[in-house]
Amino acid sequence: MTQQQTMTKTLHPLDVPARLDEFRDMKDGWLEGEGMAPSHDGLDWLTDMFVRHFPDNTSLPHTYPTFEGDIRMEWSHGKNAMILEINLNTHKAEWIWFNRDSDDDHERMLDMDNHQHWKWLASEIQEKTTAE
Amino acid sequence: MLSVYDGDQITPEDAWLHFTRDIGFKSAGVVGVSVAECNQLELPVRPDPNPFPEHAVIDFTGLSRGAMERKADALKILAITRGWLYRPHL
Repeated sequence: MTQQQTMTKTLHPLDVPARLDEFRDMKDGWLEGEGMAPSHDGLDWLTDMFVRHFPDNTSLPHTYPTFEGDIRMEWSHGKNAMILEINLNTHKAEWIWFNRDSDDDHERMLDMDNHQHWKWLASEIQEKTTAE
Repeated sequence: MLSVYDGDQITPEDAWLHFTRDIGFKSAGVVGVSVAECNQLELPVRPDPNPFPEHAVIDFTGLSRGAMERKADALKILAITRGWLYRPHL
């Protein structure tokens, strides 16, 4: 008698590639009759870049589609709020961090085709999600 | 602009029914913020009865991107802290 072993892998609830994959079924008009669906090419590109450049030991974001057909990622850790809005056509992203308890904030444009910018992003998130 | 229902004119359940049944959109439930909370964040609130009588808007016009995100985040935390005002029976 052979023992059958079943390998199962549980997805993290914030798993980004799985979340991006869900967006493939979206259609234009998804937001109250308006709102563009993200392009499949753009989702392919972002999934590939995220898997290759986002370190495993870094907090995962909540991931959302935007009205414009782009992707928004949000991290929240205590006083720190972080937002990354990625344009799927230009591959540029707007990074916003602010401190909920003070006036401190920082905004920066990132080139998500540049692996150094992914490194900077991961470092910022790691710093802001291990503080306190 | 953030579209909202005026809670002085319609209950959370009726707002949800209007949004889903009458105008055909999807909604997981209703959360809310008060006018006083918006005022505290220096976000103007005003009636906008053009689409339907109970419609109002919270106005983010003229804010920088960072300021808009900061105020939206504060509103979200207020609404989450208050909790669901209505959730449909699934």
